[in-house]
Amino acid sequence: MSSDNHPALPLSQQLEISCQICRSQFNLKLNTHIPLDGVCAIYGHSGSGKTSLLRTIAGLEHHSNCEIRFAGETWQDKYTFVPAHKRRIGYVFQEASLLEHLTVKQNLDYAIKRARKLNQFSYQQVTDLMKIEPLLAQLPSTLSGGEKQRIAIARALLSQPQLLLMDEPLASLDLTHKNEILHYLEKLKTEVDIPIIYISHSPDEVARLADHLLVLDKGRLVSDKPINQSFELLNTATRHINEQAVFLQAFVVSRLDKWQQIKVGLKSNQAGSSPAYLWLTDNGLQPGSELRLKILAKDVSISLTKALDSSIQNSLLTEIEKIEPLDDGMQLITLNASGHLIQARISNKAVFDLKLYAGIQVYAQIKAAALI
Amino acid sequence: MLSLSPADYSAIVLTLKLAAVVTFILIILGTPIAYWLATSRSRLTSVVNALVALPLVLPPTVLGFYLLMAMGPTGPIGQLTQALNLNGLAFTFSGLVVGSVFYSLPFVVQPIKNAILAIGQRPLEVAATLGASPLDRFISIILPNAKPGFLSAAVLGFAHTVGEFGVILMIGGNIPDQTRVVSVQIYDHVESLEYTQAHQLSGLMLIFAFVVLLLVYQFNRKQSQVNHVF
Repeated sequence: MSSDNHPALPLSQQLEISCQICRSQFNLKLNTHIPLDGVCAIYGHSGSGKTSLLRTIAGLEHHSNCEIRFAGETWQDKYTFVPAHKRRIGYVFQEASLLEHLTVKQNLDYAIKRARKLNQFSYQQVTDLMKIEPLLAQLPSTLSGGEKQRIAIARALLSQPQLLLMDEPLASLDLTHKNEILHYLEKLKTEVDIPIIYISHSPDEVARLADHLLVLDKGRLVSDKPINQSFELLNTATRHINEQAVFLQAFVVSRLDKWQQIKVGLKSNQAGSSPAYLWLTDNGLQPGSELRLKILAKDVSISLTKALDSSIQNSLLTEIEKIEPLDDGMQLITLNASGHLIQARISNKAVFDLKLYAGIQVYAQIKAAALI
Repeated sequence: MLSLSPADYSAIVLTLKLAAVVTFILIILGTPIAYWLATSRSRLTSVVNALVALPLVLPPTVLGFYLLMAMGPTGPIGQLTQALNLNGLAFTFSGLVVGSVFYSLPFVVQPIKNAILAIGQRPLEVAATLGASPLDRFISIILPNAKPGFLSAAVLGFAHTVGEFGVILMIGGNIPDQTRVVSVQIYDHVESLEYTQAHQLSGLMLIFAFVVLLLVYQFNRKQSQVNHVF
């Protein structure tokens, strides 16, 4: 993989990485240009070398066979090694990393005092964005995991970085706090103009936040594409964690305020596909706005006829593309709804009873489609 | 109740002066050594660790003997002082200071090293990504977090220097107001069968040592409670 993926970007908007890191668990070999625009996610399982890669970009690890250039400025090559404190980065660690001997306010001041001479983010803007005003006087040990991570992000921003590096900032949080921080990260993404490199092993987070996706597997770069060309990869990724799902891009068609529902149309890269529509719970989005959906395979059932007496509103006419057995007496059925692929997780018995096989037409009943 | 002679008082003053000077030098000298031992991945760390710990296991007479040789006119330290036109160090207060610095080094390096190790790499990495230079990190992260370690180090260094005997006898001899510290003075008293005087000084030393250790352990206990309360 090389710079061919982003031929249009000038050098000043790229992070050039050419890296070789040998460890007992992995052997990372990578040569790519990351666009310095929006969120670039690096996805991979643990042991794929993604954290080492991020730490190398930050200058926290020094591996001799690496070259890193940020916007044309050399951070590391054979002769140069710019130490971490001189690179213009913000780093959010996986676990909370507040300086425990300082209060929240002092933690922020620590960053402000040593900030780079740019003033992209004002104190007010950052504290408003991360809602940390009420926490300022507290000591880190009194905060929840989610609050700590919010402050860590605010602190990173206040050091006025030109690149924000995030190493699985949600991995050490429970589900409630995960969603809370995800919400803040989305706000960060829309309201703050800073390139972000985001490491994750969760397809959900990636689908929700990323604009560009790098996939690492056992130290190799297996995909390097914009997110809208990477959904299929994420769908496959969900199979490895036995939570089969598809990610879809969609847009709001209309709103039905009376029932608090919105009608969304699915987007497709395939030519000649006719639109498919779904009804979702109103989330306040206006017609025309884009959104990303996740449909879990276990939330999709199959019916041979259009069920008019079902509470499930979303029913699409589809054609069975393929049927694959899963380990646990279930089958994964890939359905084609006029160009849009959906997956259903059905028991062996149901497949047998309904006499399902590839090529026949069935109705896919979608119990839930999560906005992500 | 106490009836100390002027010689006893002079020995006490000399001992406190020696311990104060040695503690000051040890904190200055021991901190970079401890920092290096705690953070470096060099193979040399085990060599330096062993060297620093030597006074813990060597008989003080061995250490004193080698220092005496080194300070003698043909030894390296002796030659250096001669070249600099200084007086020899053997049997002087300065000589005692040099000897005591070696002798008490592990008691200062160890607590500081452990305190720095306890901080871990993460806060230092955080500080680095926020733009703090190595010196800045030392001042803003290590010093405040390792404060209890520094305090233990100073107290232990001081107390251990007060309690030293063998090295002093070897390189300092027994010169009033110069090298005759309390421990030597007690030895003198016993030699001349002045048990009452020996009792008084020994009792003082016992109480001093106990109080110092009590304070260190009390402080460490409080500190660990603070750390674990959440």
